[in-house]
Amino acid sequence: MSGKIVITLHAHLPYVNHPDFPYFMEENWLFEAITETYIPLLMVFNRLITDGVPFGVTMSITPPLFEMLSNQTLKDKYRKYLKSLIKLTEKEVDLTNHEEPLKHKCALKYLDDFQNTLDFFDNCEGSLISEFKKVENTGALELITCNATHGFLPLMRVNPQAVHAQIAMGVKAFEERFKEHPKGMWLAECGYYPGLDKELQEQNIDFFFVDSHAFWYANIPPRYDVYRPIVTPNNVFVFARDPESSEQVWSAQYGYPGDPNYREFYRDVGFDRPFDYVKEYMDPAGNRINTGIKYYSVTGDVGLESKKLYDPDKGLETAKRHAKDFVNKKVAQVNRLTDMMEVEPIIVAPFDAELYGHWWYEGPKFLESVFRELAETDGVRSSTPHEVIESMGSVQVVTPAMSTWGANGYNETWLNGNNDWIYPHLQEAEARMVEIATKYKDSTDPIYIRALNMCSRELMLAESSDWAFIMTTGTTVEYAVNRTKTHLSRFLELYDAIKVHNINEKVLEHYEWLDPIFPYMDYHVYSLKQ
Amino acid sequence: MIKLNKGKTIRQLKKEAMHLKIKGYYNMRKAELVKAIFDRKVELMRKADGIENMKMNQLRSFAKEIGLKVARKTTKFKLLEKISNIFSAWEYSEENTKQKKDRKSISATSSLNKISERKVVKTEIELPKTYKKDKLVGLAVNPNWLHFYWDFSERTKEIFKESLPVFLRVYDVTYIDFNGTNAHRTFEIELNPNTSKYYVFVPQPNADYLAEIGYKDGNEFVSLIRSNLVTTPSSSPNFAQMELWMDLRTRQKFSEISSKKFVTRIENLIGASSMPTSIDVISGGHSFFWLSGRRNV
Repeated sequence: MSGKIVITLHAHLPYVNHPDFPYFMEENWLFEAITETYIPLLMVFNRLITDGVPFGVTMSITPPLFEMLSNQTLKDKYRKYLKSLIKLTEKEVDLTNHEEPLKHKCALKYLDDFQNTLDFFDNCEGSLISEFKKVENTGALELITCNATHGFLPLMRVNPQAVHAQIAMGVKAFEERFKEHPKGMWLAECGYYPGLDKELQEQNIDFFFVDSHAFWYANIPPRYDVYRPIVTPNNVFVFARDPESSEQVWSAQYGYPGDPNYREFYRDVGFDRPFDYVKEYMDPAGNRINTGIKYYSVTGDVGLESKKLYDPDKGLETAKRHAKDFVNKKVAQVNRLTDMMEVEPIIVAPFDAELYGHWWYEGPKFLESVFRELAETDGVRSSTPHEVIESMGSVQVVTPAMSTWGANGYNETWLNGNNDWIYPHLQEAEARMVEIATKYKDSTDPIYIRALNMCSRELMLAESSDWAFIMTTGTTVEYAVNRTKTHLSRFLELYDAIKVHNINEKVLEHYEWLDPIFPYMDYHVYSLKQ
Repeated sequence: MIKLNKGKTIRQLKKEAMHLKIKGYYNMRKAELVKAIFDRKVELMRKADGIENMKMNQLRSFAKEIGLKVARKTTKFKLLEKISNIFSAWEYSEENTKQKKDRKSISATSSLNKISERKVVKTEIELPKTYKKDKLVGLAVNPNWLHFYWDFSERTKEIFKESLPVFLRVYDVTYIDFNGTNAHRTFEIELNPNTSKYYVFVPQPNADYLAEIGYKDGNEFVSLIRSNLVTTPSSSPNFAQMELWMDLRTRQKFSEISSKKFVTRIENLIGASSMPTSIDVISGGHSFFWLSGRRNV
C-alpha cells in the first residue's frame, strides 16, 4: 500500500514598489515575507538536501513576487530594513536581560535568526530566485508560474484576449527570470472555468490546480474523486485539492496553527513597547507597525493582554508533534483510500506559502518535520505533479467545473458590493488595450512601443485580484482603491495620448520608473490575430 | 485640490496661460482658458511626482515649464521650495491645512506619502462615470446569482429618458441558439433609473443566461442592448453512463462504462432542530400574520 502527497505552496504578494519614497509601509509586506517565509523555506529545503532527506514539493512563485525579488531598489530597501530590525533586536536583547528569562531567550533567538537571514541574503547576493533554482535543480522542488499579475480569470473571461495576455505573460515572465519553461501554472485563486484549459495548452502548460468541487461537479464524475489527477479535453492535467489535508492545517477549530504553545501573531514589540523606544523602527509618519519580534504564545481563548510568554522550544516541540500527527493521518487516509481504489491515491495539499512562517511562525519547522517523517514512513511519499504524471498509465478525461478556492467556492469574494465598481473600468480598459494593441501591432516607432507596453503594465497591475480581495476583507482598503484607480487612470491617460499621437516621453519615462514590472513586456499579447 | 480661477479677468488668465506655455491660449474664451489652465496644472503636478529625486538640470527645466525663473546660483533645496510654493498657490486656501500642505494628494501613490495624512486625504483620482458606450455585461457571482452592469451611449440615454420605465430581462438560454423569443424561461425586473448595476437571483446553476435592457411599447418589450452569455457554475454532481479515458503511452482515448463508484465522499449535511421561518416569504394563507409583521409592504 502506498500513496503520494503533492504539497504545493503558493507564494504570492501583489506588486508593491514605490521607488519615489524612501519608506513605504506596504513594501513591508514583501520584507516580512522574505524574513519569515521565503528565506526560512529555502533554509528548510537546503537542510533537507544536506541531510540527504528525499522530498518533493511544488511552489508557485507568482510573477509579481519574482519581479519584486528581482528589483534592485527593493533588495536594497530590504537589506536596510533587515539591518534596522537587527539593531532593534540587539536593543531587545539588552532590555530583556532585565525582564522575564523567556523573553530574553526569545530575543536571543530572534537576533540569531535575523543575523542568519542577513547572511543568507548576502551570501546569495540578494538573489532568492537563484536559490530557489538551486533547490529545483536537485529535483526536490518543482517551480511553477502563475498568470501574469494574479488577475482573477473567471471574471475576466468576457475579454478572452485579456485572459490570453495574463496566461501568456505569466509564462514569458517565468521564462525570463528563471530561464526555463514552466511546466505548471497556478491559476490565481484557483479560478478556473471550462475552456481556460485551451489557453493553457496553447502556452504548453502541462498541469494546473483546482479546488475539490471542480472535480465533484465536473461534467463526468471522476472515478477516484480528487485522489487522481484528470486530464481536460485539451490534454492539460488537473490536480484537485484534498479537503482533509487543508482542514487539518486551516480549520479555525482543529487546525494546527491555533495550538496554545505556538507564537501569537498579534503581540508584537512594535505595539507593546513605549513609542519613543521603538520610534525609529516604526513608520516615519508615526504609526506603530509589526516588527516580527513577538514574545507571547497563543495561550488559548483569552484576550491579547492575558497571553502567556512564548517558549520557542515548546513551539518547536509542538510543530514536530503536529508533523507526526499529520503524517499519521495521511498514512491512515492512504490506507482507507487504497481499500477503495485499485490504483495509487494522490493527495493534493495546496497552501498559501505565507501561511508558513508569517502567520504560523513554526510553519516552516512543521513542513521540515513533515518531510523528514514522510521520508521514514512506508506508505506515503511526498512527490511533485510531474513525477505523478510520469507514473500514470492512463488518465480519465474530464471537464472540471467552474470554481475558485475563495469563500463558498465561487466568485463572491472578488465580486460584491465592496468591489464591483472596478469591473466596468477594468473591462473597458481591457477592451481598449486590445483595440490599440491590434491597431498598432506593426508599429516600429520606439515611443509607441514603449507607451503600448506601459499601457499593458498599468492594465495588468490594475487587474491583480489582490485589490478586489482587500476591498472585501476591509484592511488597507484605501491602498487597494488607490492602486486600482492609479493604474486605471494612468492607463486611460496613456491610451488617450497614443490615440491623439501626443505621447509625452517625460510622463512615460516617469511611469516606467515607478512600475518597472516586466521590463520584457510585449504588448502584442493583447493584439488580435486577424 | 487645484482651484479653478473663475474669479480672474481674461487678461490675468491669458498671462497665466502664457507662463504655463499653453498652446493657442490667445484665441481661447474665458471658460476654455480656465479649463486649459486647470488641466495644465494637473498635468504639471502629476509630473512633479518624485521631484525630490530629480537631477538639478531636470529640476531647472521643470521649473521653466511652470513659469518659474531660476537664478543661476539657486540651490536644489531653494528650487524645490519655490516649486512647492507655486503649487501651494495653485491650491485652495481652505482652513484644512493638512489638505493644503499635501500638494501631492493629486496622485494616489503620493497621497500615501505620510501615513498620518492619508487617513484624511481621500484619493483625488476620479475615473470616468460613463464611457458613453452601449454596454451590458453579465458576470456570474455563484451558482444562483448574476451581476449585471451597464453603460449607455448618449443616444440610448435619450431614448430611455423618453420611454421610462426601463427593464432588465434575463433569459435562460441553456443549449439554445437564442432568437429573442425561444428562451426556456424569461425573467424581468424594473430598473431604478439611477443605478447602473444589479445583482439578480437565477434559479438554475450550470445554465446559460443572456440579458437585455429595454423598454415597453405597449405590450411589446423593445430591447436596446444585449449582454454577453453568462454561465452559472455547477453546484451539484453530474451523472454519466460513460467515462472517457486516455492511455498515456499511446495517447489513445477510450470509453468505459462508469459502473462503480470507487470513492465514497460524505458531504456536509446542513440541519437544525426546527425549520427556520422567513416572514418575507409570501404564502397562500396566514396573510394577517405575515402582513402585520412586514414593513414597507
